[in-house]
Amino acid sequence: MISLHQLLLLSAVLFVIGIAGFITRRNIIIMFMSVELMLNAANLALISFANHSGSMDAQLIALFVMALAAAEVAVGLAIIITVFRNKQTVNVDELNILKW
Amino acid sequence: MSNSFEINWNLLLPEIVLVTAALFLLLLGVIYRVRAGGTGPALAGAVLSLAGLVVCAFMTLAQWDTVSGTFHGMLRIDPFATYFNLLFLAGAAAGVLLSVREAGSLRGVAGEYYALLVIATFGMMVMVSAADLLVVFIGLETMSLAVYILVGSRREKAESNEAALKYFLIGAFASGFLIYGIAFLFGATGTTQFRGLAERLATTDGGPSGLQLLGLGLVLIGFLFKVAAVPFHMWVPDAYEGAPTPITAYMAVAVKAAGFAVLLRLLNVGLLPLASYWLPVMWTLAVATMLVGNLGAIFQSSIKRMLAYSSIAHAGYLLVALASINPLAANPADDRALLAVLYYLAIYTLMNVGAFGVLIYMGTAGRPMDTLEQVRGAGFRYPLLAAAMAVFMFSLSGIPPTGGFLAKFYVFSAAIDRGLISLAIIGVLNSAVSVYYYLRVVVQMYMRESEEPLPALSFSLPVALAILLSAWGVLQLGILPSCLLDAAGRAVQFLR
Repeated sequence: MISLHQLLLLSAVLFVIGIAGFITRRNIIIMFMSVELMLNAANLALISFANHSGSMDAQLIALFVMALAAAEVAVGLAIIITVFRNKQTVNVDELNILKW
Repeated sequence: MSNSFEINWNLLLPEIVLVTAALFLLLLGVIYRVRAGGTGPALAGAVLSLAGLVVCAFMTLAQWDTVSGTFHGMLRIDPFATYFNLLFLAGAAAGVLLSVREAGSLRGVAGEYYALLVIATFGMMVMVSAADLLVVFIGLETMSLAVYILVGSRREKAESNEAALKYFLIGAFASGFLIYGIAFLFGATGTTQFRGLAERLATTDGGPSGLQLLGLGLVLIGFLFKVAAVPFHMWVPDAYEGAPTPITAYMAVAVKAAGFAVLLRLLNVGLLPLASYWLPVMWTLAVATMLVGNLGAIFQSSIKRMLAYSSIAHAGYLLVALASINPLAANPADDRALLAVLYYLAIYTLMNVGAFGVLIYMGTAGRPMDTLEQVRGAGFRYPLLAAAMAVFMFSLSGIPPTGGFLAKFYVFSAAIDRGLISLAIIGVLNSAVSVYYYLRVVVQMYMRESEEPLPALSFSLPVALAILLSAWGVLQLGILPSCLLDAAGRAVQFLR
């Protein structure tokens, strides 16, 4: 039986990997995947807590998060495609028209 | 809370009207795509969305005395929600009015453009009526996803793409923090409802647990990204500059107001027992946000980017008010900090709509108004527009008799009431710095000659209307603020 503690540790590790990936990677698609990893880490935490407390509420939240993450993917990929059409790149460092 | 499945749909009538309007707008887009374009679809879209917003505003106004929950306590319609709903509707209406002039550049997507504007407003209304963290999250994402697309709605312009991408990536990153924080708050308390959260947090023995504080911190990070507090402000200048100007205005007023509204409700209802932990955080962030916003704005040559930094600075003044909240006030209506936030956001909406409206009006299709050099001589060429711009700049810098002055006065006096003298002094000094870059615009308009002759501007009724109403509001509420203060006072009564 996996304990709550271990599950939370796993979710924290996933969340930190997500943050690290978002900050260090320069490829937009990989940054985007890192964000998805963070959302899934949160889902894992929600489900572990729900399992621990025997309440269904958090499982419901996890379902909503999945739906919203899917919507986010749709919008995000659309934006990435328009960027790629205009600039022929998915590297954030090359997106530098706007800066002070 | 009852176990019955009865849901009072009547309370949601304003929201239903908005969504219906959005669906019709989408339909309009499809119908006009089949037929030939022209300016017809853009105009029809503007008229339809304005009609939807006005009907929704009247229905919201009719709810002014309603205090009720629905959806098993997930949503709560009270004067606080109604006050902010009206503010969002005003911001959205301003966004529509300001868009009409640039609608020619929308080409085939006018229907979707206005539909997204309406849907974003719907998301805000859900957010501010939420009494549960899950509903807050859903409303926030509905708003954010629509605004990401709006920022990138000039698909052919690289600036617009870039702004949308940066805003989207950072916004999604912030949502990750928010939902992780919600998970921890749930784990620590077993509930996501605001009232339940407050009860469980208040009854924890031996101070809050690490899990609770972790949840508090992560949730705060999520929201502070949305309201553009330092150090979570990096996206603001880029997103504001790259977005189409009407959308910049909409983001500056409505998105920011929505962020602060939900933060107010969350901090004052759900997280009130942890006030001794978040008040110092607000204090620190207020100082940092004011400094970064004001110092950043000084060096900008683009007016749009200057207004973006100014919006960061104003988030700082609002955080001063949040840091001055008295968690022990018996009646929240007596807490001047809360009143100050509500008054400030209303005035802030008016002056930003006005300032961006003047920028839009002064620009022509071939020559968008952007840099400080471009407004040179505008005081003589466009006397009325320049006068309106001067009013908004005076108000933004907090010079009487404008609403901006009273707004800052209420914020800083609330801080002094709570004994935060040093915070108030830092705020006033920052405000003095901001006079420099706001008045620079006025100086350029009235005291410098233009190198090239300024073009003649075609009259645009919708933009003129938005500017006129904002200017009237800024002056009227600056001299006679009592009606707005009464409304704000009634709204905050239901905050705790």
